Amino acid sequence: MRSRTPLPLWILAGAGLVCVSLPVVALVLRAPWDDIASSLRGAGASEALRLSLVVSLTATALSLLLGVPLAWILARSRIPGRSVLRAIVVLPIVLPPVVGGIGLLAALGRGGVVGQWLYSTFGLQLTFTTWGAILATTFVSMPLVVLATEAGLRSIDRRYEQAASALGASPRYSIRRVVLPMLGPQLAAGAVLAWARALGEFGATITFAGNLAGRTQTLPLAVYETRLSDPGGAIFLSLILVVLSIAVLVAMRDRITRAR
Amino acid sequence: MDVALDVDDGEMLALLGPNGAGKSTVVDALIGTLELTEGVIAIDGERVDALPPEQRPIGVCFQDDLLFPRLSALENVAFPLRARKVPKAEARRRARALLQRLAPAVDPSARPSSMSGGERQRVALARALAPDPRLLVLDEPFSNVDVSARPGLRALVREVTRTFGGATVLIAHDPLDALTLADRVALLDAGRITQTGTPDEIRAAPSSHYAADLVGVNLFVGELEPLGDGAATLRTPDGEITVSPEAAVSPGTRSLATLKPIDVSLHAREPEGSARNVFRGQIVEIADDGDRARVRLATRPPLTAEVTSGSVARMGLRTGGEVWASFKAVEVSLQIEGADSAQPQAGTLGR
Repeated sequence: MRSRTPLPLWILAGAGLVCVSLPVVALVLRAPWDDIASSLRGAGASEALRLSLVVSLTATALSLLLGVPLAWILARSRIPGRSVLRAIVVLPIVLPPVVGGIGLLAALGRGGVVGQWLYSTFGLQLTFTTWGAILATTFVSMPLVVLATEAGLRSIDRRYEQAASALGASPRYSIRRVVLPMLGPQLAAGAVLAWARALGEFGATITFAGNLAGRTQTLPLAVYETRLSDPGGAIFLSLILVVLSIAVLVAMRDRITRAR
Repeated sequence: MDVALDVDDGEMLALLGPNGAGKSTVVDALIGTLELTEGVIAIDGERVDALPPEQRPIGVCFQDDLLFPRLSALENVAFPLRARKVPKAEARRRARALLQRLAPAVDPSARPSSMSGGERQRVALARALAPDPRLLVLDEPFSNVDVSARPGLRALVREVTRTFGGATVLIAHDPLDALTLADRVALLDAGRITQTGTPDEIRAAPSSHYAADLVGVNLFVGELEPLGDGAATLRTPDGEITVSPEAAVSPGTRSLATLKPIDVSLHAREPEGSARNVFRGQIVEIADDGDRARVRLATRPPLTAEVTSGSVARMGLRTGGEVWASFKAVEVSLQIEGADSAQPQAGTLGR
């Protein structure tokens, strides 16, 4: 039997599709393909791309390193005020990134709460450095890892861990050999989401780490800087981001739908 | 919960009780998932109740096997060895040998999700035995296993628990498992042990209504000999009964048979009627609680009948007196074991 879809539905759905696809199509149409080589060179594309990959991948790794233990505490420990703790941890997801940047400045800037001490004691300065960009990116990415991992942990039957310890496994061995492998799909999903978020990070990075080519200027920052001086270059930089994002989406679909 | 149990090496104690009796609590206390509020757990004279689970010399087989889903059969069996820092090559060699013996039909590289319930439980048994435990805890190992795979698994459990060198506690929901496998049975009800004894003792003299209903069955073990009309004779060392198998059986098929005492009728004179099993014998014992009476008979094979106390008085039954007993072939429920399970062999099942 053919189901009949009412005409207004078609029209609205079409408008929706145009709304999301038109800008991307327009980027392809408006790109000055004739002088692609000189545009890319002029916009510092390779430098920005390299920095984007370094920053986003390092931030993803940091998000996993810190976010998984945090998810563990949220899912498994019986500490008081856990829901408050969870709200704090996932706050960056809803917070405007620029607010995160201001917060990071107040905390870790040269005159910041902790930054002042870091600078006077170790001579360590995070603002305007690649590590500053990585830190700002981790700030916005890590909550995604925490959420995905915590959901995954809650879905694992605790009795597998009890079985592991009854069979002689220390808690650490049980985590490494039993829990983490079972958590694989959720960890992968969390990592891919975090990476996608890291790749597009703009507000927190430019506020906290500044916009220095070769040090903190990732692709989105480079697009922002060149959009007036070199519109063609900005379009090509944007297209690089589009291609990377599509790659992320494909990887993500693969990860999320893969059966346990 | 208040439970006192002891088990010797090479011995199997079955803990039998209904759901909610506290069987899982005993398992949790033994493996250390649950802390004792009071009391002692000792293995070979050494207290283990203060040890964390991973340091207890205990192997466990869980009801729903709990094989680790992301590890292969071989890795699952090697797990307890690797967890105890046995070198990888050595652990894999020992795991492979165990798998070969207990689950020869299982591909060592297969994941649990691709195995049958019976195969999974065999791998789980191998995993429990891998670290040479002093105590083996089997938590309802047959309940998630296909009926057709149970006899082979039972035979395997019987063999390995006698030979692995330690003691075994079998947690059982099905009385038949407890009665046919264990050396001793402890009945658990509402957190207390109500009776302990050999399967024969418990079966012959259950100490309560509950126990009588649970384990007070007539149990026959023997070989089937088909009769022409679809029925069969079950030959046991103590005599023969006529049974009614659901499908055709080949001569010599080994089988377990159970018969509820309430299905055995008693008669003062030789009964007429359709019952194919009619026996005459002396009354050995009458256990009358004023409501129901269990009457034990020295027939061949020996039988236990359950009648009302009123019938005992009306028929004038007394210990030492003679009486006729009858039951229908269809009242006997059969558990065919297959012709070859008399010598339990790891290789005979998993087909």
